[in-house]
Amino acid sequence: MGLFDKIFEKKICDICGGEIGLLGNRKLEDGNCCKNCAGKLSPFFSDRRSSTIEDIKEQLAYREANKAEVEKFDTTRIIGGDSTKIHIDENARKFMVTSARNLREANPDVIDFALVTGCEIDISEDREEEKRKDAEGNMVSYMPPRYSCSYDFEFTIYVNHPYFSEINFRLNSSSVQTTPEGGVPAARIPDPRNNYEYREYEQMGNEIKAILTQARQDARDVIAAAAAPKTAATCPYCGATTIPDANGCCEFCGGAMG
Amino acid sequence: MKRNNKIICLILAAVLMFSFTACGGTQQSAAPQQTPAETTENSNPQQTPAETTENSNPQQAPESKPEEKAETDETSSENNEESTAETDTVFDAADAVSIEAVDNGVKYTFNTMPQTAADIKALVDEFGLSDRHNTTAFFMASYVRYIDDADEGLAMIDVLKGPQPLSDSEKAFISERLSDKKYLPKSYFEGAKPENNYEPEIPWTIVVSDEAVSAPEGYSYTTVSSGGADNPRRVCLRIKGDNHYLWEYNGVLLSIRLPAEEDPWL
Repeated sequence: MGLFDKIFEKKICDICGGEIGLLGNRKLEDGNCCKNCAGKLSPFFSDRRSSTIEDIKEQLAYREANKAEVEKFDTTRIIGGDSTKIHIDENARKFMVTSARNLREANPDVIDFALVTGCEIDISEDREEEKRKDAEGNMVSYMPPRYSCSYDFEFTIYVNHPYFSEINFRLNSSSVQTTPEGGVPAARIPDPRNNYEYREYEQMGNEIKAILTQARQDARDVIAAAAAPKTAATCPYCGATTIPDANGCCEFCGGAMG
Repeated sequence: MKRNNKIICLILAAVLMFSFTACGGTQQSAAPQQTPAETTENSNPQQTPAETTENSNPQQAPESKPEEKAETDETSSENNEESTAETDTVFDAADAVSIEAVDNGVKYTFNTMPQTAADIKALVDEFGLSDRHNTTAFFMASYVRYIDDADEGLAMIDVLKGPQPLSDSEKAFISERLSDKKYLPKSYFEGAKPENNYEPEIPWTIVVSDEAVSAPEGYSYTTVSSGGADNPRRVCLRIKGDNHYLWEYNGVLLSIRLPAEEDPWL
């Protein structure tokens, strides 16, 4: 009976201290977590099983602080696919990726552009053979075989974030069919780029890639400029050779030193 | 003898009178002189004098007094204004839309396009949202209205969103997607093509088709086709009770081919 005792033993969440119901346990490396606490973690976090109780508590604290970031997030642009979209705050140089309608409720992770390390669009082709029923009701191939082709557009953003390293989502809500109903022989499969929707999603992916890559570069340039050692320059107003202050002004006459 | 002659004269006079009447009465010389009263009474033995006066010109309306006529005019003009006003404000949902089942879908012909949230509510009351095709068709009509009046269009869409109205981010997304594509909503109606700058045929007609892929439990799919796209665009609905409410519709916000007037290569 020990085995059954263990299965039905009441577990306690090591994060919030609450009772964990049947099938509600989310195992950690050194403890248990209830599904309520697990639900508060980042949707892009996938390393729960190898995380400790302390790691989870830290992340939950980060997620709580993220709510304030979402509150002050000012969306200046929305790009993206049918379901998941990228909200961009160009002024604060941050973005978030979400399919939620209510941002406050969903609490999507607010990410700085500088954390983006790369982007990738993956177009996957699904080629299915079309078959027909013969006189005996068996499904048989056409002669020559006919195929239907459809495409899906997966986008991945690689980030240097403490709790996740990539954000993955699909641009299209339904697969893009590029062949007519009933399929076509292999030799006549059309170039998918002749399909308008295919081109649109491909272009959308490239646009997101360009925006995030440029934003990442701009953010890095700002950081680099701020961190660059100051060199002495000659003030055009008073002629003094000095290092510009934090505002880029001469320490003697206060004139702008460019 | 004299008495007999008198009788004979009276009889002859009666006969002559009778023959005078039968011939139309134009010859007065043969007719004996009559008094005006007799003339009036006997000119048309089938009518009374009152009837004669009234029926002298049956095509004329009876003359009424000027005051009465003015009152009548005012009353009739008020009635006209009321009926015109009623025509303007009352949206007859039953007459506004014709619905017809077609191959793999449902065809909606909008004899009158809905303009307000009240119109959408009237359509919902009339046709219901238990058919997912209805929700999609009414949404597409609201989508068209959005171009002319964004606030009204959003209010119409909210009726179809059920328990969860449009969020600020959804409104912002719609606004951004349609800011430079005013032609996009009407491209989904029959007859709209890039060549004619997406002007649909009148009356506005749209076919809402079934999606080949099954939706997850609690949801349903439909598709609509644009004259400027190669693939149909999916609309996802969420089911609550018997009703299908609008849930995801971003596919219809995706770009389409430029209309002829905006395409620099045409």
